[in-house]
Amino acid sequence: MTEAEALLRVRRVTKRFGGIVALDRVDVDVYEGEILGMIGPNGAGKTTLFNVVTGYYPPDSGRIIFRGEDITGRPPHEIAKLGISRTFQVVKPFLGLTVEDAVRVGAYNRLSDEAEVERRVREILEFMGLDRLRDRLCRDLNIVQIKQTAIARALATDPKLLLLDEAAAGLNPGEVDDLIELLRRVNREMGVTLWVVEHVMRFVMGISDRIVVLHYGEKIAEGPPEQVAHDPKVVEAYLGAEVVI
Amino acid sequence: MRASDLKPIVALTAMLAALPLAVRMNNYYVLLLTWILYYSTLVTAWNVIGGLAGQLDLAAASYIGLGAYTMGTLLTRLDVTPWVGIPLGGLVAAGFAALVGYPTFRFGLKEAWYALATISSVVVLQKLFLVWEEIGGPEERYLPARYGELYYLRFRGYAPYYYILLAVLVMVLLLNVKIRRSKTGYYLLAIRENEEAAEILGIDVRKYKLRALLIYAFVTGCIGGIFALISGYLHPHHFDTWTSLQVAILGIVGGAGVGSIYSLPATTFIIYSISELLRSTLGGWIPGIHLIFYGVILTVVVLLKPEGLSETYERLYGRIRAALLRRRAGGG
Ligand SMILES: Nc1ncnc2c1ncn2[C@@H]1O[C@H](COP(=O)(O)OP(=O)(O)OP(=O)(O)O)[C@@H](O)[C@H]1O
Ligand SMILES: [Mg+2]
Repeated sequence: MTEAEALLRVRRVTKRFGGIVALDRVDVDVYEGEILGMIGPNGAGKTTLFNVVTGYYPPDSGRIIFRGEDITGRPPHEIAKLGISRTFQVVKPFLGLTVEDAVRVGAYNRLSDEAEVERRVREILEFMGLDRLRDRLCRDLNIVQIKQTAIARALATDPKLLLLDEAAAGLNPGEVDDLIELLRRVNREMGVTLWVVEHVMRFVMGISDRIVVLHYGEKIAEGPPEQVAHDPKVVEAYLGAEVVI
Repeated sequence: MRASDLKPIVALTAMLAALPLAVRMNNYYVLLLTWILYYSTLVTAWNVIGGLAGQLDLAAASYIGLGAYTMGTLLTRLDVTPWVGIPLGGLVAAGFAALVGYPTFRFGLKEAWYALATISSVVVLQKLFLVWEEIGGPEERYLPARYGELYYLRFRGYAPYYYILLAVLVMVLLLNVKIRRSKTGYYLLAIRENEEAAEILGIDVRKYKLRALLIYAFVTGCIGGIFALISGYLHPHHFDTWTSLQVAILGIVGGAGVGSIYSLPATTFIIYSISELLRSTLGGWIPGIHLIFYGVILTVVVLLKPEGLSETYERLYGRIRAALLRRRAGGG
């Protein structure tokens, strides 16, 4: 694949917090239609990279190019309009809204006609299997349902690229399998490119077409799952992390 | 707007329209009802910023004062009818709100900081109008005593003002229902619930907060103009921090933004009546008893029912309805 084809290009992105270099000249390409996995020990900079890409933090240096357009430093709401959405590692639910209304908020991103918004909301709720919870307040949901609603409202914005930060954390093995199944359908049927950060290996190895590995803010490996899993640098990074823990 | 949205407004209007007649136009009671309606309109307008957008705005008295001075100054100096002066007062209030709100939202001032910034604006404006001899100054400036002329909107009794405020309340209720069901309404709720999450769903948080603020400030400025007509004079003490606090307390206790909008006038009605009763009976012995009452009510509600009273009314209403239906079924 050539560079021109990449949906998103992250180029030499650096982000510091005081003395900590959270991201050190990171390059990542995300190709249209793929599912890209991203792993790395705690504090590797995965969430920071998502925050930079979605406009929550400006990078200290480097560029973010989406569909050929430089989006570096643009605010999140503009990024959403361009077609990137995300979920958060620490969930940020709309506790006082119903599931339906949370999804409706997302649907307004591209639609203004009320009938179309209504149709989109129904479509997404059905797709996510959330229709029977539609009138439930997010406050009354369990964590799995809260995470599903977070994906649902992000999908309602009609993104080209969806960033998922530890969507499988806290799920049991059966729920992880359901999530893999669901995200495959999001990828194939809705045509949404996915970039997923995950610690749950069963999930990330099972779903990713390619995997990028971050360690102390640097990209140390990239490639197909089985190759990355046996990469000596990756093994060392994870062993090192285990020793520290 | 749906028919089901309009029904309660029609019912409420009919009930409120009959109230002055129920008290046989007794001057004291009509005055009391007028102040209740006055605060009801303010709290219902506050719902847009405080309830839907979730911003603890304490600048109501700034907008009231600006609306009052704009309308009053135009009326006394240039003989401009309040029909024009009132909406102009709303615009001046909205302009001032933009001046304070834009930098506030730009730098992400929230919660306690936003509350402090907004209540400071009341104090600053009060001092400013006190020293601004040209327009304000420490002397009362009386409005022309042209009673009974529609051009001047000045009346000897309070009943006409009561009905003017009732019309305003209906408009503000309709405005709330309309916003609540629109994209803007959903966006404001999302902002209230979680700003960061709202942003990546495509919401320009600053723009929508500012929009809510401008709507609320405009309406409150208009109400300020009406307030000046009722009180009959202009004075810097119309920039009254207690009014700001009262509006926010009634909004919080009423559960602004949670459940039904009608909870706000209902709460205002109950709390204002009790506080007035306390003032008129015990106020002689314990000055400020009605102020203490607000503090106690706020504390109790925040501790026991942090989401406000709206659900309590709904449950009560449900129970009464069920009881009535049962009786009807039993009797027929
Ligand atoms: N807002 C912030 N202020 C200061 N330091 C930060 C901030 N955000 C992240 N960091 C630091 O940057 C580094 C990378 O953190 P980040 O959250 O991106 O890691 P991560 O790979 O997502 O880790 P985890 O797997 O634990 O979620 C850490 O050292 C973290 O402490
Ligand atoms: Mg993280």
